Amino acid sequence: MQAPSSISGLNLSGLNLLALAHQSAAGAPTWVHDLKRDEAVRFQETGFPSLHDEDWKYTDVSPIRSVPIKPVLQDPPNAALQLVAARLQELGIAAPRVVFVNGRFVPTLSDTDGLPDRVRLSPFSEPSGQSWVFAERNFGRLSSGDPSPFAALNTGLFVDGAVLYFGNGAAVEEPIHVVFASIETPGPAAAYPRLLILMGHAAEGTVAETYLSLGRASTFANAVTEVHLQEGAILSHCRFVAAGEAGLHVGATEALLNADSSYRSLQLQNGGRLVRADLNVTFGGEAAECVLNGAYVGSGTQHLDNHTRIDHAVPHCTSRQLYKGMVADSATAVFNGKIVVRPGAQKTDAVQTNKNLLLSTRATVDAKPQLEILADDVRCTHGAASGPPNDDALFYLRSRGLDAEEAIGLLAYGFAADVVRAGATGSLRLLADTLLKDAVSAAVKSAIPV
Amino acid sequence: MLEIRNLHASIDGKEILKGIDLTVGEGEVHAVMGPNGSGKSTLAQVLAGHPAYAVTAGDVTYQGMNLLDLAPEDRAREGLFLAFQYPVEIPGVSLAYFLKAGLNAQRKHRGQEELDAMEFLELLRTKQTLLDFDQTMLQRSLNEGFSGGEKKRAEILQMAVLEPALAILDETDSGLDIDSLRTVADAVEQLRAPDRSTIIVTHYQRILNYITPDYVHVLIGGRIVRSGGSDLAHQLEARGYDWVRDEVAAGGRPEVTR
Repeated sequence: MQAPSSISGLNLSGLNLLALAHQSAAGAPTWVHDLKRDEAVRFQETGFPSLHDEDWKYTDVSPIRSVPIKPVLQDPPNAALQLVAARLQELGIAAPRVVFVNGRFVPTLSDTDGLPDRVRLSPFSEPSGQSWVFAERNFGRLSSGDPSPFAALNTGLFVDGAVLYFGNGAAVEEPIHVVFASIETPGPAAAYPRLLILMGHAAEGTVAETYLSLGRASTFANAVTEVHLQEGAILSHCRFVAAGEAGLHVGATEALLNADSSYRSLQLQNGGRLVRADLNVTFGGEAAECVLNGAYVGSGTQHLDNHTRIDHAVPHCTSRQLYKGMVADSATAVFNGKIVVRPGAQKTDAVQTNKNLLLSTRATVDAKPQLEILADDVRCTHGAASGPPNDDALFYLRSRGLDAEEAIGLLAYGFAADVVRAGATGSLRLLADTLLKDAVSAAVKSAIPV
Repeated sequence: MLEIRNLHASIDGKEILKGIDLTVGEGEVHAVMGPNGSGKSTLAQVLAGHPAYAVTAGDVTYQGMNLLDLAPEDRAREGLFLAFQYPVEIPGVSLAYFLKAGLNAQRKHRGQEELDAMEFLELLRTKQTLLDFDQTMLQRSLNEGFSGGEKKRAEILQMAVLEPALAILDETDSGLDIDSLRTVADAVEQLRAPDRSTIIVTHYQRILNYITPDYVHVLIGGRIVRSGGSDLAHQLEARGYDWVRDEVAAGGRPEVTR
C-alpha cells in the first residue's frame, strides 16, 4: 500500500471535503450521504494520483489540481442553456434524452415521454425520490471497488445524475441520450456526472452518453457510470467525450455482465486538454460477451488516456477490443489494455487490438497491453501497432487531386471509421461520424472533403 | 501534350530511368512495352509525381508546363491521371466518397462548381454502365477486399469520371481474366477521344488486341530502345524481348520516335 499523500496539495481553498460531500446531492436518502462520506474520506486518504502510481504512469493530472474542484451548486444561466440546446440540435441529439449542465439536471432540455412503461430514465434529484428506490441496491457497488481516487471523488462530490432502468424483457430500439455538458460559469466549472444503467433479464437497448465542453475555460468533468446487465441483457453503449480544446475529463465506466449478456461499447474522444477514460468490465456469469470499440483523436498539446480492464472472472466468456487513436502536433495518447483471466476461467476467448496513427513526428503514443492469464485452456491474443500514414496511400489520394492535408485527413478518418461503424448504428453512427470528422479536421487542420 | 527529354530517375540511390525521350501528341495512344524491371512502372510513377523517386536529370513538359515542378495533386488537377498497377487499399473510405472528393478538388482548381451528392451520383451512374460496375462496390472501402479485376475496373471508373487529358495506364491488364480484360479494354477504347492522350504501360501485347495504339515503344534498361507502329507489338509478342535486346547490344540504333 502506498502511503496516503498529503491533502495540502489539493486545491480546496480551505474547503472541507466532507462538508462538500454532505452539501452536494441535497435531498438524497441517508444511505447515499453515508456513501458520499465514505468515498470522500477514501479520496482524502489517497489524494490525486501521481506518476508514481502504476495506473497513472503516463498521465500527469496536475492540470486538474490547478482548477477549483468544488462542484457547481447553482443552476446554469439561461444563456448557457441556449448554447447547449443549439449544440444538441447541431449534433442531432434528440429525445428521449436527459440533459445535465455542470452536473445539474435541466428539465427544459430533457424529454423522456416517448419511453415505454417498463423503461425509466430519471434524474436522482427527482422530487418523488423514486430514482433512489431504483438505484438503491446497485448504486456505488461497482465504483466503490474501483481503486481510482477519481471514482471516490466523484461519489463524494456528485450533485446529480441519472438512473436508466430497463425492466425484464423491455426493449427500446431508438437510442436513449444522456448528456452532460460543461460550460464556464464564467470561470472554470467542476462537475461530477453520474449515471447508473440497470438492464433487467433479456432487456435490450442503446444508450449514448455524451460529454460536451463548451467555452474556452478549463471545465473539469469527473464522471462515473455503472452498468449492470442481468442474464441475457443486451446493451449497446456509446460514450462520446467532446472535451473541446481546454476541457479536462476523467471518466470511469464500470460494467458487470451476468450470464449470456452482451455489452457493446463505443468510446470516442475528440480532443480535450486532458482526457482519461477507464472502462472496467467484469464477467459475473458464463457465456457473456463484450465488444469494446474505441477511437481517440488528439492535437495541439492534448493528452488522451484510455485504460481498459476486462476481468474474465468466470469461464466461457468472450471479449473483443479494437481501439484506434490518432495524434497530431505534440499530442500524446495512452492505451493500456488489461485482460485478467482468473483461475478456472477456462474457454476464455479474448482479443485485443490497438492501432495508432502518428500524424506528426512529435506526437507519441504509449501502448501497453497487460495480460494476466491464470487459466490454461484459453485463447488470448493482443496486438499493437503505431506508425505514420502510409506513403503509397497518400500518393494514391493525391494522384486524384486531393492536396496533402486533405489526403491525410481522409486517411485518418478512414483509419478510425471502421471502429465507428462497428460500434454504432443508425442515428448514433451519424453522431459518431460527425464527432470523428470534427476531431480529424481539427487534428489535420483541414476539412474532411465530403 | 507531353514531351519527355533525357529523363533520369532513381529510387534509394539506384538509377532506374537512364535517359527517356518520348513525345506524345494530343489524342494519341502510345504503348510502352518492356520486360519486368525495365523501368516501365517507374516511368508511370515519376510522371504522376511519386515522391519516392528522385528525378536526377532531364525535363518533362506537359501542356506547356514544367510537369516536374508540380505536386502530384496539381498534376491531377491539370488533367493527368495514373491508373495504378497496384491500387492502394484505403480502409474506411468508400470509392464513391473518395472519387467525389477527388473530382471536386479538380473542379475547384479549374474554377468549376463542385458537384453535390445528387449530381455526383448521377454522373457516376452514367459512367458505371461503361464498366458493368457493381453498385455495392461503390460503398465498400476503397480497394479493400476487391479482387484484382475489381481493382482495375475501379481504376478505369475513376478515369471515366475524372476525364483526364492524359491517362497513363500502368499494367492495367495484369492479373485480369479474359472477360475482365475485355471489359476494361473496351472501356478504355470508348474513352479514347481527340483531346485525350493515353500511355498504356504493359508487359504483354494482349491488351493491344482491343486497343490499337498509334505508337509502340520498347523500354529496356531504363531507355526506350525501339519505337514503331502497332505492328511492333505483334513482333514482340511473337519473338519476345530478347531479339530487341540483342539488336541493341549489337549496336542497332533505335528508331526515331516520331
